[in-house]
Amino acid sequence: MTIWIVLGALTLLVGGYILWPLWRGNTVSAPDAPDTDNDELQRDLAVYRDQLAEIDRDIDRGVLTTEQADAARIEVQRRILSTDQRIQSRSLSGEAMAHVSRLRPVVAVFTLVLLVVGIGFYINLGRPDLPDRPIASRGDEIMAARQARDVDSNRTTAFNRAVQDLSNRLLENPDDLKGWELLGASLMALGRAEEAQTAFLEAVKRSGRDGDYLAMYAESVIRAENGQVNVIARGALEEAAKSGSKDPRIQYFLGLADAQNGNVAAAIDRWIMLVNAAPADASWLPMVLGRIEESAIAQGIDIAGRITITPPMVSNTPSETNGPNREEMEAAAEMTPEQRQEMILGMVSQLADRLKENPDNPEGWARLIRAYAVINNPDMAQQAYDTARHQFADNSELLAQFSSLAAELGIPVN
Amino acid sequence: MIVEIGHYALVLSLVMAMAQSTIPFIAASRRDIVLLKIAPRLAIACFALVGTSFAALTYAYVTSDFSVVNVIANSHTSKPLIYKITGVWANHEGSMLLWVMILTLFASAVAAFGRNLPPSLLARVIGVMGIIALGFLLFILLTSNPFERVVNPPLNGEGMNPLLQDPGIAIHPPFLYLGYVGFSVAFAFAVAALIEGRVDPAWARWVRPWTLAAWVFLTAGIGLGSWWAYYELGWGGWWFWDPVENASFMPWLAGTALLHSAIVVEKRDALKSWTIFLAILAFSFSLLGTFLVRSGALTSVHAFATDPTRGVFILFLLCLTVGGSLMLYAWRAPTLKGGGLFQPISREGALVFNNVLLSIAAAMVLLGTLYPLLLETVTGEKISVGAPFFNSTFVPIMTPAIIAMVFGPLMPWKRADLFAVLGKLKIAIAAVILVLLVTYWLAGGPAFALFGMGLATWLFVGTILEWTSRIKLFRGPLKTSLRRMRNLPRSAHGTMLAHAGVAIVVAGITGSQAWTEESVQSLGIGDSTVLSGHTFTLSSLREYEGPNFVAREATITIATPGERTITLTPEKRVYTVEGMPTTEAGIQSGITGDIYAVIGDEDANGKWVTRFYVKPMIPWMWTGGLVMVLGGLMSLSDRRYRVGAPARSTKAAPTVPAE
Repeated sequence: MTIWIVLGALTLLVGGYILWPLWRGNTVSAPDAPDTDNDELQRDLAVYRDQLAEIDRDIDRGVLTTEQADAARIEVQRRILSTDQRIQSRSLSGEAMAHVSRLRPVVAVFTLVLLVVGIGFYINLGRPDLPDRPIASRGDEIMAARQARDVDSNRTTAFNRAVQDLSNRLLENPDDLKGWELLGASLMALGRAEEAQTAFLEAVKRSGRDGDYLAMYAESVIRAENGQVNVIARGALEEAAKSGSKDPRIQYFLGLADAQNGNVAAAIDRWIMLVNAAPADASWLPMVLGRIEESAIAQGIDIAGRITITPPMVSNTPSETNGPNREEMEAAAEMTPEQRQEMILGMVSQLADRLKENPDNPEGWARLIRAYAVINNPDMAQQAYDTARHQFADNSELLAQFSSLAAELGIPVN
Repeated sequence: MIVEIGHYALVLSLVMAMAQSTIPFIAASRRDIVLLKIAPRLAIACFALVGTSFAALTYAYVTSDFSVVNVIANSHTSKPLIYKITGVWANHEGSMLLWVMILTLFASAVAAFGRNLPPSLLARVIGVMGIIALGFLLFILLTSNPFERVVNPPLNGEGMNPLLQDPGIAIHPPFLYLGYVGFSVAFAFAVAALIEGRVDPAWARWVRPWTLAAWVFLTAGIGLGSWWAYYELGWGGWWFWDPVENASFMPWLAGTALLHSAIVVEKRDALKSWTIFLAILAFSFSLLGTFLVRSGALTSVHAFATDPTRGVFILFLLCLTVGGSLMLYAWRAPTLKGGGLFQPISREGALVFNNVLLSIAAAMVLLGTLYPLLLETVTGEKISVGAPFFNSTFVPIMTPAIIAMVFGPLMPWKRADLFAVLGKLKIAIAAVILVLLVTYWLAGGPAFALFGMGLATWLFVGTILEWTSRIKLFRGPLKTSLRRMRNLPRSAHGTMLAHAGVAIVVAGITGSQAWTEESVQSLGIGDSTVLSGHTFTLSSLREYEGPNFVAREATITIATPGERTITLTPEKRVYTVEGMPTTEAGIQSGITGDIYAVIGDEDANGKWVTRFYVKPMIPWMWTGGLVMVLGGLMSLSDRRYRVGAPARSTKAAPTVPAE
């Protein structure tokens, strides 16, 4: 409330200051008002008279010779004469004007209206509800953040120690397959994909090239390559597929390899087979479905009716429909490529708008970044990535997720 | 609450600008003395409000209020206080706010000091400045609002470009803007005169000091900018014909022309229409510069097209202001009454000659700056127009201008005798020959260096000769000369200083371009290298931690040919928040030139990459700039009425009309 009193006082002060002459002006009677037209010519004459005086001073100081001064004087006197003539003709023709216009009340009202418009504009733009937040007054928050970071780093330290213990144990007892798997998974969680590769590779070798371990190994290779499915990963995946393993990662990453080789249709076929065969409560289902939808829209591939599984609630953010729904997808299938492109751009910009209004939606940001990357707009993807990082600057877990997403999409991380 | 008061004050200043761009015109056309009194109050209120808003933003920066988006994006708690303050204008939004604050400052200064101006002229000048302020305030509030807030403020900001964390570049934008925006006063006077349909004597008396003040600031701003580039970018360059630099150089050229033609209007009542045109041109160049720098068009036409809101807005403002004022000029200028007459060979003639050359030079720079943009827009091809183009066009245009600069002040007004003037310059011609011989004997060339040194000598000696002839030095007792010197109007000293400053700049450019020597090498601790008679030794290295950076500092010991020992401590810094490296060159300046040392990274053999330069005469450039600024200030302090005495005709000579 205080703020409105201050802003109101400021408005009154400014309004009063500028309109003061109007209020005072009414007490000036019309005959007192000078004739501004003649006044201007009189001012000119005054300037010329000052110039003549200046010439005299210049002679005194020896800057001008008498001869130069005479020449200058004649010129100034000529100008005085012509101004004099104009004054004469002006007063003869009675050109002088009235100096009290009936516009004064109009000006007053106009100014007041403008002030009201200003207040309206501010209500639209400003955030009077937000207090100042100087850093000096935010000691509590800084403390809390520091503690959280300490807890985080303690946890990481403990985790790292556990990993170290585990790997020491495995050196003594290298045939512990579950141990290698645990070590690999832990290293993956710590973001040390290259070391995870070695752990999983041990498991693969010592298990007689078990399909499930091959799939884990492939995933660690792909992660270490920033999301690229290289020849090694592909070989491991294909071997795993032949071994009859049902690990969903195999088909998913083989699909990703197809997509990265430009064969998105094959990728979608693979993924659709994967989801249709999956249990309805599989935790990875929403992610793969999302991937299918995005790729299908981006490539304009009709997938209507091909997905037979009904996923559980896709998103854990409540109710809002964040992606294209089935009807939109079906409609998209019947469009020309241009129309489809337009629809995609429309949906992306809707999402961007929604996030602008309600930015506290990490999934939405991830989807937006991915969407920009898919429609081949790296600048905007970069921008969305920066904004998202900004938005969740105090959440290290989300930040890590965003940077791995950026790495996957090839967005430069600065 | 302070942040929101600032935001509201900014909105309220927009309202003031709306009133300021309408009410004064109504008042002036109705000649209502009460309404006319409102005009100055509007300008003053507008400045007070923008000032409040700027102060509020500064407060947010100083207190690190990260609920303001602009502070998040450009500040950090570990920044030293001085760079928290300069961070206010080291970004797009804040710098536009500074721009408008300076504009309203000038408008309110005109309002406060303009009581002796005809009230209707004053009102119209304020009105024109109100229209410009309105445009820019709308731009800020609609596309570049520095007061945007976030609900959940982060605990720290993203920092500021470390290249800008430097005292030289920190005060560079305010100076540059004082210059750019200062031309808006001359522009507003020009437009107001066109609307009034008359250029009265008070008009001329007003335009010159404002133009001069703007010119002084712009000169200082450009000088600071090039000095910063020299010591901070770390390879000894100082001017790159970069579009951003050109953007500040074009208004300077047009402003210099305007300054000189305003003298003719004030002293001789001639060249009015041309002066009005130059006033429009100088401010148009300022707006163009703002557009080029602020729209993103320079980084790439493509970047401009992806986020066109800002660019299109300024482009629209630019077209409206420039187009509108030029149309008004075309419509009204013919009705202006021409003033005094003069012959082609006269001081007026010399000033017109220089005006034309300066305008052509500005046009060449404009072409070289805009051509790549146009080409990229039309064909998508990216080219860059660099130093070869500018050197081969700019130098031939400016050479006759510099030669003529000596003649101008020596010629009387209205009509002059070229041979008599040449007679007075015998000493200057002798000095040029002497300097050429000495230069050839000492350095042996190159040809352009001889040419440049000759030109500088001609200008310097010619300028000093003019001044000594006015005080009759050596032509009477010294006492008389001293008395005459004291009596000489300060503007005469100003002319002398400014012209001599140009000569010093020309000499500095020539010398440093012709005789700079450089060497790049890897040195271990204790190793030496010899460059141009100087022995450079890498004595030691240390690392230390600054407030927001870590630095590696080298100690370079230099034995000069004159057996002196100099120690330089160049640094390489890495700013931790931004993760950006910068170089801090070690520079030893002296009257003969600079010794310049840069430390780089470690090479594969564990040695350190170092770069050394010996740059003769380069400090002359900034010294000359400083002398020009002093000359401008000296002339600015001269507030007398100025009348130019014409030379009497000895025979009946035909005269040409002034316009």
